[in-house]
Amino acid sequence: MKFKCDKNIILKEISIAQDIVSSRNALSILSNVLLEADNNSLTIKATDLKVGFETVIPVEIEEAGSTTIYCDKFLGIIRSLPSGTITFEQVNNEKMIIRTEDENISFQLNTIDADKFPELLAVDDASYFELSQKLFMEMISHTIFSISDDETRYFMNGVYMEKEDSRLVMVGTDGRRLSYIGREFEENIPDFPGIIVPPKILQLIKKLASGEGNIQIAVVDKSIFVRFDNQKISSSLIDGQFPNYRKVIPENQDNRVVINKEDLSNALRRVSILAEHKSKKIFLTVEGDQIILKSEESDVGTAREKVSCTYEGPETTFALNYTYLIEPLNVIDEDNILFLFTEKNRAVTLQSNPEKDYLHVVMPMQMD
Amino acid sequence: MYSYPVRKIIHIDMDAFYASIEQRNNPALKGKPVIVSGPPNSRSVVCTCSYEARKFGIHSAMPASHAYRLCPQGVFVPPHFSEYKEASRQIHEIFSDYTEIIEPLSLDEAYLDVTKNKRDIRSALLIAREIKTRIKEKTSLTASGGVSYNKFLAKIASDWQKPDGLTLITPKKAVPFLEDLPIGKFYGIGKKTEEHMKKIGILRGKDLKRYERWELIELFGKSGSYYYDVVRGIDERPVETERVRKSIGREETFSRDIVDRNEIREILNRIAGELEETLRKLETGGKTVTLKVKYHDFQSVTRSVSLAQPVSARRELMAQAEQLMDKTAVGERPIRLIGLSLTSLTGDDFQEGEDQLDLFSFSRRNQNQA
Repeated sequence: MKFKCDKNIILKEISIAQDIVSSRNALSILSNVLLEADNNSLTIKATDLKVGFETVIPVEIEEAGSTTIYCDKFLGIIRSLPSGTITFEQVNNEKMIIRTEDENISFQLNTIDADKFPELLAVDDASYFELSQKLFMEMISHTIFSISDDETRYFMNGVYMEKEDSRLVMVGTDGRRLSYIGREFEENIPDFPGIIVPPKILQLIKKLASGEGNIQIAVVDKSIFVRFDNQKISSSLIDGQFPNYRKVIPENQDNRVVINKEDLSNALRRVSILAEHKSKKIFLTVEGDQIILKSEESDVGTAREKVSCTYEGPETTFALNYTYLIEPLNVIDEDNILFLFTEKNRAVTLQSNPEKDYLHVVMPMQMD
Repeated sequence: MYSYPVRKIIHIDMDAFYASIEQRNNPALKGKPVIVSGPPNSRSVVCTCSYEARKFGIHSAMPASHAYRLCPQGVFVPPHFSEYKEASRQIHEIFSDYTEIIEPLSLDEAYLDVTKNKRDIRSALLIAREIKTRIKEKTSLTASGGVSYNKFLAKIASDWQKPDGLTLITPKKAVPFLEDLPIGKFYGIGKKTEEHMKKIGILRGKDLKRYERWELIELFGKSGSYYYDVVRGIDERPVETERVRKSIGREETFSRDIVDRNEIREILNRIAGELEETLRKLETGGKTVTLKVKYHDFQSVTRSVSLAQPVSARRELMAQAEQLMDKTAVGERPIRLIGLSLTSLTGDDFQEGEDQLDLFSFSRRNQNQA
């Protein structure tokens, strides 16, 4: 195998591969990245057996072939080389020589045969369905921040995805707040059972996808497969029972408050300065045409701020974790938001005004 | 970004504290490589060593025998803790002339919050300089000081120009400073994490900054979130005058290395019993059980498990310890130390977010009522 490639083109892909390869046991095949050179393109594959990644970049091939190489050092070498064309040449099926155009710098890295590399899971083309990248990425943004990082609640450590009627639904929750989005797509989505998708693949999509064109998705057995641009990523799913989220999305909340998103967000940031570090508790009172935000009284001091709103209902005070409010506000894409509730100890709902296809449910805290 | 009121935090760290006291008390030791530890032919480890000894590659926690091999001419002195305590008391007296908000980390190290101070001195740098001078006058010992707007930065600052240094990191300088800081210099990033980070191309603060919070959490567990904040100069931890217990644990170094798993099990059982007693007194339990094993070659590993319910009983602790032992080479490799600890403690002072109502259990309650 021998090929030439511009440093920056291969560097980008190898650094993604390095995020995926198993870093636990060095010098095993899982720490290696697979390179396949053929037809003037280089296919790069990496996996830790949970997540699989495959990408194709154009290279100038002098001799086709394939091998695997220790990703960590490979990345280190490529990163260290000056910009320009790099030549990669495999010799005797056991070493790869990496050198610069002027041949002043050269590295030799031992390789492991490509046939030792685990086969990445694959599904046939027919299993994929297609969606707009941009709309799917929005769904990720609306839900991923709500998931739990508590390993004892592993079934909440990912985003739940299912098809409901003609909608694609995604839900993230940590048991205290929940983010839901149910989106209609022009494209036809086949039925699949509800799945819990680990955040890593979703973040990779957010990071790598261009946001233009479509993304292809397949759910087969206990894995999810996505294809977009020149990349393919697969991931095993979280095996567990996702809580029945439908039961905690409140219906018919009578009290409706309309607030300017920016105003509320800014006020929350200010009041949070004096919120208790751990509990992050603040008090929110709706009263006529204003909302009053207050921090808990402490030795440090107190914060208080009024924000005007539209509301016709009984005066009510909630204790809330301010991050559970700020995070949804960061992703709501309208100028005004709706704050819906029934009473002070029941869940509140945040959504855009006018209503869209997403909502965020937040459970309050105890008042004292 | 949030803005926080700017605090003025000082971190004072005595230079080679124990060894310096030994050198002060016995002038014959001045300029010599002094190693405070048990005798070199024992199984003890180095407590501290003088800067002269550090040149030989000796550092604290190294076996005394190893230190001896590195520097046979070194002077091995047994520790005199009452002396150290006395010096520590004198230093704290000086601190309390400026503030009552003092968080001692050990005999030779403390954080001070001087945002408001008894002398109404506006410059924390000035206070730190005064403290250093007064420590020198009172104890003939040198200290290094770090001044910044949070604990993390103050700690890094005090380490910056050791010994006898004084470093100020202003809010303006903090960000470029942290971006350029080698990852191993970050307080809270240990050797293992450093290696891990270097492997994935995180060499300096600026590399760390490229990662999202979730990515760091995924890579490094809960500490990931801490790394995410501190590299941005964010550390809201207050200077805590009373140490809040975050963990309860015991460990034991054996007089000879032990291979037999049953023997280890017996020792662990005793440790678990002691823990049970402590936990009962404190009326708490822990959700994370950690087993620490140090092999004969000083390689040490920890294995932990996080549980949904807190445990405190000896029997439960042992059940977890048994499973954790399976993840180590207990019974296969000779072991010199074993330890068991509990974190994620429950109880008033310990738990976070207990005011927070649960979405799902709440709905279940509602259903039951309905």
